[in-house]
Formats: sequence, C-alpha cells, structure tokens
Amino acid sequence: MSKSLNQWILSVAAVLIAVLVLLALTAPWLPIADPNESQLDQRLLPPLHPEALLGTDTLGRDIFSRLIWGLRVSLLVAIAATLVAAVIGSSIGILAGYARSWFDQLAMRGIDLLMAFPYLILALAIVAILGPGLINALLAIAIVNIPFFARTARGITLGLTREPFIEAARMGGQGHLSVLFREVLPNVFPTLLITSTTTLGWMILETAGLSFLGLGAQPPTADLGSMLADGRKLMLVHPHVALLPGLLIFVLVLGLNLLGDGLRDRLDPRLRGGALNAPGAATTVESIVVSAKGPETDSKQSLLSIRDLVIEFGQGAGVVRAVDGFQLEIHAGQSIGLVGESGSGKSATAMAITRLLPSPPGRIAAGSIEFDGRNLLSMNAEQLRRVRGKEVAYIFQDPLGSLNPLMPVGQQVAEAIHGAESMNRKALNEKVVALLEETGLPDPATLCKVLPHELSGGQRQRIGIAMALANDPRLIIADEPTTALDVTVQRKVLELLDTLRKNRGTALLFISHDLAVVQAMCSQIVVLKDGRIVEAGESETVLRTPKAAYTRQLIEAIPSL
Amino acid sequence: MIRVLLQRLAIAVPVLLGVSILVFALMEWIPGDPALAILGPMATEENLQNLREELNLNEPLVVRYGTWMQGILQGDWGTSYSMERPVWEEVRERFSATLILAGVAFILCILLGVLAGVAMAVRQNSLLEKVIMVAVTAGISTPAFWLGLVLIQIFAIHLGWLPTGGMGPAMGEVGWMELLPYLVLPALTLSLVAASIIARILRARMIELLRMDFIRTARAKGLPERTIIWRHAFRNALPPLLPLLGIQAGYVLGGAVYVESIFQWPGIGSMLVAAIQSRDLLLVQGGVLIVATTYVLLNLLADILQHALDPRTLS
Repeated sequence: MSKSLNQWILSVAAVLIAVLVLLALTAPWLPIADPNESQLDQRLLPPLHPEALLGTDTLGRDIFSRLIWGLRVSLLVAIAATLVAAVIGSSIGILAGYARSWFDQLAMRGIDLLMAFPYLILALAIVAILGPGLINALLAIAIVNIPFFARTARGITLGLTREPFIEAARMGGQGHLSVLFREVLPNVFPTLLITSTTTLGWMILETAGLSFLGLGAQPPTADLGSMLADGRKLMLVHPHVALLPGLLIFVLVLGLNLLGDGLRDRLDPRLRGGALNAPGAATTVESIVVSAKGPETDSKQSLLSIRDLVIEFGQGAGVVRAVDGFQLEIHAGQSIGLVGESGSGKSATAMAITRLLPSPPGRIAAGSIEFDGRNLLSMNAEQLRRVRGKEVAYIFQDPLGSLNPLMPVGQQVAEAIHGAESMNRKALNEKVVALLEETGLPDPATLCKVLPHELSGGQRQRIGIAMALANDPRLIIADEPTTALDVTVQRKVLELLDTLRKNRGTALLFISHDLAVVQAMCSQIVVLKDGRIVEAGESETVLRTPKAAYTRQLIEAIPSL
Repeated sequence: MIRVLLQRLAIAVPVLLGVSILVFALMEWIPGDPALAILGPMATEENLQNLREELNLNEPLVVRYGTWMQGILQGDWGTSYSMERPVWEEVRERFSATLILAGVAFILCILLGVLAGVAMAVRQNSLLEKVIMVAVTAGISTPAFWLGLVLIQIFAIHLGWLPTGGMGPAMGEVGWMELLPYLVLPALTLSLVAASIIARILRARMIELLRMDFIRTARAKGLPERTIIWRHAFRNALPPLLPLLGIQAGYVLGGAVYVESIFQWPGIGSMLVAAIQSRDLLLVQGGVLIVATTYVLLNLLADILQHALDPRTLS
C-alpha cells in the first residue's frame, strides 16, 4: 500500500486509541450514568433515546455508560495480563538464552509443553483449576501467553550472547547480573515493547472471550464480553444490547492492531512485510515507439534490433538511468559479446529484451526493441510468452538460484518445451533425455528425477543450457553463464555452449565482464560503461586497437597466463 | 525420511507424556477434597468415602498417575457426575461433533487464506489487494463470538436463509447434505481469524518468492502466469506454511469453544464450558486431554509433511 495511505491509517488508529484510552481513564469523572444503577421502569430502551444515548439493557442500566466502564475493565485486564506475561515470559527467555545449558533445556521443554495445548483450551483448563472470575481469567490469559514472550526473548538473547560487546563486558570483569541488566536487557527491551503492543489486541479478545463464556468478569461488573453474553438472549428483539459491546471490542482491537503494525514497521523495519514488490509478468514500457525503418539499417536481415533504449529504475526524485541510448543489431547466427563491469547496465539490457527486467523498480523509458520485425515493447503478456523460451531463450548466471529448488530437473527441462502439454508422456520423456544427453550429462534418465541441490554447479548449468536449447531458439541470451563456476568447469561449459550454438546456427548475446572469455565466444563486442556504449566492433579489432580508454583498462585487467 | 519420522516421533512421545502428566495434575491442583471435586457437591458422604478409597489418595503420586494412565488407555476415563455417564462416552460423542465443525472450518480457512494471500501477492498494489488487506486486518481483529451473533442476525434472523444454530434434527444419523445448512455459519465464523492469519503470512512469503531468480527463469521459459504462480511460487511457499497450518489448527480447535456456544453446536467446546461452570472436573480433564492430544498429533503430521514436501530439509 502507498506510504501516505499507511501514514493516514496509522494517524487515525492513534487518535482512535487515544480517545478510547482517555475515555476509559476518565470514566469515574465523566458526566455519564452510574453503570450499575438499574432503573426497572426504563428497561431495554432503544438507542438514541432521550434518556439514554445508546439505550438500556434488561435491568434498565445505561448502555453507553456500561460500554465506557467495560472498556476500562477490558483495557486494564489486557494490559495487566500483557505485563504479567511479558515480565515472566521474557525473564525465562532471557535467562534461558543467557545461561543456556540445562536451564535452557528445562525451560524450553516446559515452554514446548505449554504450547502443546491450543491456547484457549489451556486457558480454560487454568480457569477450571482456579475457578471463574476476572482475576483468574487474567492469570489464565497471562500464563497462556508466556511461551510467546519467552521464545521471542530467548531468540534475541541467544543472538546477543554471540555479539562481541557482550563478551567484552564479561571479559571486563562484569558479573552476570550486571551484564544482564546493563547489556542484554536494553537490547531486548525495544523488541519486547513492540511485541507487547502487537499482542495487546489478542489479550483483549481473549479476556472478552472468557467473560463471554461466563468464566471471566462476573455480574454486575460492566465488562464488554459479559455484556455481549447478556445481550445474546435478546438478539431477536433487541440486537443492539449484544451488538454494541462487540462493535466496541472490534474497533478497539482493530485500532490496536493497526497501531501495532504501524509501530513495528517504524521501529523494526526487518519485520516489515509489505516493503517489497513482486515484479509483474513483463517489464513496464513507458512509451512505445514504432521504429521508423530508416534506410541506414537493414532491419530486414537483423534478427534483433535495439534502438535508443533507455532503462530507468526508481521513481520521482530517485530515478536512476541505468541504460541510456543503447543500440544493437544481431543477425541470424551471429554472436555478440556485451562487456562491462557490474553496474554498467549490461544485465539490465539483456533482461529488458524480452521484458524480464523486474517492474517495479525497473522500466523501459524509451527506445524500441524488435525481434524478427516484431515490436517486443508493444506485445501483451501472452504474446511475449510465446516469444520467450521458444524464439529467445536465456541462460542465467547463478545456476542454483535459477532453478526451482523443489522441482525435479527433468520436469523443469520438460516444461521449457513449448507445446509440452500436448505431447504424450513418453515422447516428452525421450525429448528431455535427448536434451540432457546433448549437454553431456551422464545417465540422463536417472538425473531427471533429481532436485537441483543434488547436482554440482557445472551439472546445474548444463541443465540451464538444456532448457535454453529445448525449443531450438533463434537467439540465446547468456547472462554471465559461467561466472559462478570454477575455472575448469567454466571452460567445459563454454565449449559446450559454443559447439551447440554453432551446430544449430543460433545467434548468441553473451554478457560478461571478462574480455578474454568474450573474445573466445563472440565475433563482435559491445563495451558498456555507466549505461552507455563506449565502443563497438569486431572482436579482433576492438582487442587489438581499442579506441576508448575504458576498453584499454579492461584489456589491461585480463590476467596474462 | 524414515530417520526424520523416527526423530519426530521421539520428540512427540515425551510431549504427549508431558501433556498427560499436566492433565493428570489438573485434579491434583484443585484446592480441597478431590473426591468432592469428582463427585460434585450433591454427593453423599458414603459415596465420597468409597471414592477416596478407590482413588488411593495415600499412594505416592507416581503410582496414582500410573493407575490413571492405565485407565485412560483402557477407555476408563471415570464417570461424569453432571452428565451421569462415563466421561469417555460423552467426550467421544462431543469430540466427533467438534471434528466435523473444526474439520470443515479448517479446510475453509486454508482455502480462503491461500486464495486471499496469493491474490494479494499477485495483484500487489491493486484495488483488489487493498480490499482484501482491509478484510484480513478486520478479520484478525474480529471477536469470533461477536461475528457469530452478527451472522446469525443477518442470515438466520433477518434473511431466514440458514438455521440459527444446532446440528440438525437427529444427531449422528444425518447425512452431509442435511448437515450443511447448520455448518455454514459456524464454520465460516470459526475459519475467519485463521484464514486472515494465513493470508497475511502467505502474502509476504509469496512476494518474497516471486522476486526469486527461479521465477525469472520460469518467465524466461515462457510459462503461463498461472503455472508460475502455483507450480513454482506457491509450491515453494507450501512447506514452511505447514507448521503455521498446525498452529492454525489450534486456533480452530480453541475457537470452537466460542462458536459452539454461540451456535449451540453439541461439541467438546460447549461441553468444556458447561463442565467448568458445573465444576465437573473429570469431564474437563477428558475434554482437555483429547483436544491437546489431537493438537500434538496434528502438529506432528504438519512437521512430517513439511519434510516430505521439501526433501532439502532431510539431509
């Protein structure tokens, strides 16, 4: 959600909670009726009655007044229960995390045991022992929440004890107690505070729930949960008696939850859930330019034609231009190397071709990309999908991260084959095995059933190559395909890619920071720096007589063996 | 896999043992005369005397636990004074009613939670996401006991579409189709909180996964979005979701206490509340024991399933 909306929600929640807390605190001095005074001649008045703003209950008691007093009870009990649970729970957690050894074992097994009960059932069992009543309900809710605080506190403390400053304090001669109070507690406290705010809403629901069941507050105490229970029998004729207290609980808890979420996002960004963006199916294109087919380029012959490409990241004042005015023509069967250091925009360009660049934050701000005379930037997701993998295939850098960790590799190769749905199982299997064989993998039939983590880096990249070759594409874009591999494996994988490509007449766009590798693989080189092309030409020429100073630096950086 | 199975069982058995000790201790912690607590305030002095002898109160605690446990395993869970029948029979009957309600609610909360969570992640920053997010935040903040009343007010009293409560005319003999109208409102009420929690957590996890490299690979292969979302992203979100589902099963079993009491569903939750109010502690003991055991076993199942679905965690 947008930042301003979140800000707004947070402010509304804060004001709401402030008003409710203020009402609860000042209840005894407010000009409202006595919550327990029953006027039997004024029973069950409807809301907005001149005698009572929100009407009266079965005993003629003023509902508005009882709501405010009930709010007072609910808040008080919930805060008290949170405090008890937080103090006991985090003490156990901090001690267990700090002392470790047998105490940790014992405490955590005890906590596990408490957590073996569904929380409300445990609360009921405790009330069964102690007997119904508000204080007993409070204790039950507190005990049930101890494990939560203990686990949280133990986790943080365990992490802290491995920090150098705690060790330094110990070495400096501070006693355990002093370390706990001066070093550990101040560091655990902020998280515990946030945890407490986020649990307060739960506590209110739980205490109100026990009162609703008749196990918490006892009559005549005005309590939101028991008011709801009283009103239940009148649902048919006077629904407001039950619905109003429930509504107040809902509003109160909603306000607390929103406030807690907001506080957590502010104070502890690590826990924030919504800060990330999932990219869509295709990169956003800001303006579609239908390229004017000028006479200076023979775009009929070129397979891929990129003109004046501009790629931007971020929004508003934070816009970064990653690629600016990029040009490229690739002909059928041609191999072109795109060289530059990290951050030069070479990967962004490679991803942008079939619009795989994640949006947000990236987007194609201007330019045109045509493949085989078709404008890729004006295609919809479905049209793009038919180009991806089938005509333009990719090989990625990190062969482990690029494979689905939970899908057998054979299946991942199989689904790369376009039209696999309509093939019969046997034919599909044979095709997968043939592809794996081609990439030089041993025993392909067995290997098919294996998960990516069971393969070596080189084997994984061979799977990547098999997936790229699955549809005999016309262009393969290889983005640093061997950077993550050892040098010896690197050479073998490159040789394989080169042979297979040449045999099939596939064009190649090879992205690398390594000039030596590019020279071996490609006939043409394009050098990119800070998003702009600094040099382009035949590999031999560029390497022998580099024009740009930057290219010379790159050449000098090649280690001579 | 077998090693993990044995390992998990080795953890679950002591937990179950611990649960049984805590439940046994329930009777020990009650202040006053345990015989009085078991037989209730209307018991005669003669019956009390007989029971005191039967309970072997002079024996050491360990021996008494052993005798109690033996009885539990043989189906002798004592006799409920308020129901005037064996605890095991009452608990079994009530618990099967709860299992129907909680089972349907559990399936419903998974369906709703997964759909809402995935929709929010996939349609991020859309109006749809905002609407679901509001519903989910409200869902987490709604008291189930109030929601139930509101639903009854709207769908049973006002519109008259569904019954206000109960479990149908003849318990035990009715088919699913006759049971369905009685199930809709309580199951919906019971599933809402758990569904909201599942949706929130799944949303965050799906967004994280959709940013990963293997999703980019799947897109580069030209796979349809539906395949990418479910077969690639969701399939990877599933194993860590299972322990969460185990915890949600606890919310559903616990929440059944409220829902059963609102909808007069003759389950273990309403039995427990009535038993606590009438201080029928043997019945409380039986109810807590069966719910906690089920919960431990469900979590064990979730744990094992998680490992089965993610073989990487086996090594």
